[in-house]
Amino acid sequence: MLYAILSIFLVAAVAPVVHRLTGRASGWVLGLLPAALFVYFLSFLPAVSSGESIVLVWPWMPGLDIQLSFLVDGLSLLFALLVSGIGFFIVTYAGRYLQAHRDLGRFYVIILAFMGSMLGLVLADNLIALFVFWELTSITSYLLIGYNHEDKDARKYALQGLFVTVGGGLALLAGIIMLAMAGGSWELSEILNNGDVVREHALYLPLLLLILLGAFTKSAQVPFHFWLPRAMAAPTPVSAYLHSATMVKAGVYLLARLNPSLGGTDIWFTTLALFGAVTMFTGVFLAFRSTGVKKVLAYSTVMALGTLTMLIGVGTETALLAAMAFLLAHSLYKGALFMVAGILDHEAGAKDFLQTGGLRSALPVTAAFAILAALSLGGVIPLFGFVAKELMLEAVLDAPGLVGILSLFAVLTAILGVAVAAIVGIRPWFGARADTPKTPQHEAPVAMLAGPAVLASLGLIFGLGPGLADQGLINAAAASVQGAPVDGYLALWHGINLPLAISAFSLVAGGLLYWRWEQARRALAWVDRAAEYGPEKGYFKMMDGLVWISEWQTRVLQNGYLRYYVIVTVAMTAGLVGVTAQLFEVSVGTLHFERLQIHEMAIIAILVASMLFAVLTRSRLGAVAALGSLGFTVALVYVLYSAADVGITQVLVETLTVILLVLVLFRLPGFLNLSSSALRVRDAGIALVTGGMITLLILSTLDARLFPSISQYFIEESEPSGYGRNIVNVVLVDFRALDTLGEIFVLALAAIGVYAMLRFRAEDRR
Amino acid sequence: MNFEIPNFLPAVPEMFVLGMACLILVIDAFLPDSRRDITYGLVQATLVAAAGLTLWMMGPETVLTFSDTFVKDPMADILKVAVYVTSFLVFLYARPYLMERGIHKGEFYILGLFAVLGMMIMISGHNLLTLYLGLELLSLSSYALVAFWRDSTRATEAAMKYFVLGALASGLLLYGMSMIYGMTGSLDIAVIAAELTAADESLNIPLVFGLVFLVVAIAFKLGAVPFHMWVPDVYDGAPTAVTLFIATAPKIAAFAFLMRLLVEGMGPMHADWQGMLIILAVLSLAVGNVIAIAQTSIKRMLAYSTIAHVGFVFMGILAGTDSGYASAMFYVIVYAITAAGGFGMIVFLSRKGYEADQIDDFKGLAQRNPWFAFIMLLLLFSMAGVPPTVGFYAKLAVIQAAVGADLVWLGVVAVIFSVIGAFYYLRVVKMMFFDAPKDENAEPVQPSGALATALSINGLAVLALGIFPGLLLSITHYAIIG
Repeated sequence: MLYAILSIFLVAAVAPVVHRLTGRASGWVLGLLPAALFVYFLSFLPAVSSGESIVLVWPWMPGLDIQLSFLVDGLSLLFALLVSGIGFFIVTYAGRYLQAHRDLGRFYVIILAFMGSMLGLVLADNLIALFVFWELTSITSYLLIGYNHEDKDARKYALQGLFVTVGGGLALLAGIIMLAMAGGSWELSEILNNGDVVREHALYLPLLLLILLGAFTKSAQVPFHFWLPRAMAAPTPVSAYLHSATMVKAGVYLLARLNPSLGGTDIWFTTLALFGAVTMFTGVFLAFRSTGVKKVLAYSTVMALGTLTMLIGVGTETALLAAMAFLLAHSLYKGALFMVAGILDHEAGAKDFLQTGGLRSALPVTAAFAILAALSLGGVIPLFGFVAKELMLEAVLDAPGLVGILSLFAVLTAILGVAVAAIVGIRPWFGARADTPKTPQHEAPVAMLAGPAVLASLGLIFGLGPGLADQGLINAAAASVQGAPVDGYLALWHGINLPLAISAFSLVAGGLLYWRWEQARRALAWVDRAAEYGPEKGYFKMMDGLVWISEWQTRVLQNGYLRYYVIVTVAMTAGLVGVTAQLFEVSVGTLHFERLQIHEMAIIAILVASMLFAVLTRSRLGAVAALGSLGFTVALVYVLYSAADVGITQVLVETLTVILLVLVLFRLPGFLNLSSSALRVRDAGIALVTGGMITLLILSTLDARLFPSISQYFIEESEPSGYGRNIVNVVLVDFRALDTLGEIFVLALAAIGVYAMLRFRAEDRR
Repeated sequence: MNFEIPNFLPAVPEMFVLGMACLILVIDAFLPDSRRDITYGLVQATLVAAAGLTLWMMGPETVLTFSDTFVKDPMADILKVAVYVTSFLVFLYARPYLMERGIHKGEFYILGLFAVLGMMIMISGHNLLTLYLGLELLSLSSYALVAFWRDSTRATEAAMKYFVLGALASGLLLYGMSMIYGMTGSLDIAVIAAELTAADESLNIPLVFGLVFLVVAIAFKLGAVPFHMWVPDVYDGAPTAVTLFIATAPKIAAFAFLMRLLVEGMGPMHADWQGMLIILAVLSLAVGNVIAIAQTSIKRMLAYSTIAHVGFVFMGILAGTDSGYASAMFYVIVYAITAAGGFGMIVFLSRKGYEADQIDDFKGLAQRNPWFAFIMLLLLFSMAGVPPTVGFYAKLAVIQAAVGADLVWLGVVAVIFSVIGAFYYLRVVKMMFFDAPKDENAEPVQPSGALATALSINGLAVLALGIFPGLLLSITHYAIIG
């Protein structure tokens, strides 16, 4: 299995070489790989259809408990077959469709890499591996969507698609991590058997919401549906692939996959059923009122995705069976129709249904298969789409709740669905011959017809013999979604019942709607205006808003002035200290002001006066002098508390500082008052707060003392060990002699440096 | 008093680097300007030899020496090797840039080597003062490096800001250290931890105050919000070659600094610093990711991205578990490698008289040189945390650690901001692949020489480590857990 997936990436890496070697036939040659994989996956079918699920494990990251493991059961096999099977047709089709394109080699690389990621995604058993492949599909599909990068729209929407899906993916990551914690394992096969534990877990709600966010963005559920039709900027084979079997189905796959472990709760049912139903209707409605060929098809994909989500949400056995049948039916007809859309573009140059008409005679084969696929889309008996639709209606009518709303949406969707099928199946082929931008000279080449032909025919074959699809795969797939064997079966004819009546009614009503298509579209023109306020608007507003916030923050926080930076740093530190003091209820021991002596008061008065003078004076020299006086007063305090030597040091340092400052200031221009009084008040505030905090700090730590002071040691040892009575001197020259030596050395070195610099300057002058 | 000869062996790499730095300083003084490559070669050789020494002496045991002020343990060895590797890459990337601007001076490499020595001491410091010395050696070298292009007024301004704010932070750090010392009576990391465990209630308050100052200083050095203001200005103002240097290896050292100081030293106060780190982490994630969007200069953008990454590193550490520390270490190494590539790309695209430091300059890179556009794509994806690049596993491991420490909400916040952050990385990717070059006649980029090769290897390493993350992950696990 690992080799199967690796082989795709390896072939992708050499694809440009293959392309150069084989030229026109490159599509067929490279198509061999997905075809071979399809056969390989088919070999799992007997085991899987008998209800087995196979887990294959390779160790990958022992440190993080991550293995590269694969899970093959009904669901993953259904997807794997679709991905590789349709992949074969896409590759061969693209070989012709993009024949003239200069970058076809690069295209192969990306589409094969995409195929590999998609296969990895549906087969992965490990959640992390699943996520890795999930994001890989986002990236590779981004490169595919933006493939025609000369196109302005392609550029714009490629980013949008990427951001919505990658962003949703990251939300999924958070959800997955929580799921692994709740389920106690990174392996899907284990988590799925642990459903009750996960559903009871405290994290159930957040993890569900995050996973749903990931799945909904990927599968274009309302309100994230806007990116999907925009992604139509991609070349047609890509659209065919992304829409039929892959990319957008990934979200649905995830929901189906996790159903045994997450499903069955009220919130699961309500969210999925409602979002699904709304998406379903929105999709088909927008499809009905669009005219662009690919746009109609894209919106009808949104409809299908909504249907699938809704069915998984409903979660009854019929619903799951319906979901799987619908999934298969949709992949078949949507793949075929997109490839037909490509043929229309390729042969007739038509990108809009309004440009087409009466092409039946020019492209007879294409027309036949297009009509076949469209019938399946419309759910007309005896096609597979019909089987799926009947089951869907049955499931909705038997839903465990919300029957009214869901049925209403289902019926409306069925009607509009028929109308959309008619647009696709009738409009281009019948009626008066329209002037297409290019007149079709010949039928499409075999490579381009093979896909639609096989896929559309399969729709008919599975419709006539639903047991074919059912016994092999659909049943097994539904069983793995349910987490238990399924008793139901697919049948073309269920007898005359309510779903059949709805189908018949919708055929008639849909037909009528198509007959009145022009008028209906005109009547619905208001939607365009309303759409301006839709979710896409929200997306752009949000992006603009982010940029605005960002710019605003830059202006406020990052204005480039050092003084603001210092203010923020200082204020934040003071703030943190303040908060901490609050949290720990710091109290300051009583200060005994009454014990203050008169000379102490005098010293404090001098201190305060010098400080005030330093702050308020307009003369530089005055400020320096005031600072000096402050320093000398501090020295006085030292002397007062019998630390004469420290006092002397302070006096020396202070003198030196004042002299240096004066020397420097001597050369400076006059004192200018550049700041307004408001600013000065602010600065004073900050200074007061900071000073206050430091004072508080010192006062609060006064009482804390853990160990005895070391001074006793020096007092005792100074004479016996150091032969001196002046403790400070003994410490400097004896106990810490090496330190002193080092200091002297550093000072000497600095002095030499200064001297050298002065000499150089002097020489320069000369 | 008796004087014991300390065990010099564990510090041999440090002594070697110091000796070589002094030697090269002297040699460089006698070299003519045209022979600067000798200095460059010697510095690179020193780094390679130091890496050899460290690897050769690597062992699972923890050795203390110089009166327990210096420690050699697996974490130290591995982080030192990471520092050598990133510094080696940085010097390699920087050389053509410096030569084209006529500032190919020996000082760049020698200051860089001294900074490397400072980082090594920070990594191996086992005493508040050793740690501080290492930090100052690194900081002073960095200030000088930023100011090193004297003709550029922007660089000078940046250096000024860096110095003033850095000095302020150093002051705060010392203040905090002095309070811790005052309460525990020791500068030794292990003794402090033991004293803290035994300390009684009454000491709580001063200790917490000391802790606040330590955290503020660390936050400043790492560039965490709200002490981040210097980061964008300095990254933007400094010559790109210097930005490249200060944005990469020093972060690894700062991580070690944080580990030694907070985790090993202040470990018993985990509950107290966890809250502070949470605030810093959330703010860094928010501000870093959001402000990056509005930037037009790619250097500034990457500066904010660094700030956001610091938030992630904090997340791993604040979890307070061994796997959390290992994940943070993994994250910081991955960040250093990725950032080296990212800034290296700016250097690579710059030409004489033209700095590719605007995001616009990356427009249409895919047309001018598809291979390097691809490399840059890998680097950006790694920064954004998109698989299969290694950045994803870094984010995964860190978020997992936070969630494992019952901080689910923090994990979710991190993810939300990663999503916002993804936007600006992806925007650059879009510009490279889908937009037309700003200058219509822009020539294709001609890759040449060692720089192109190294840059390619750097970019591919980000991918390879992402496909096989097990190796680096088990190394970091080994470093922390043993």
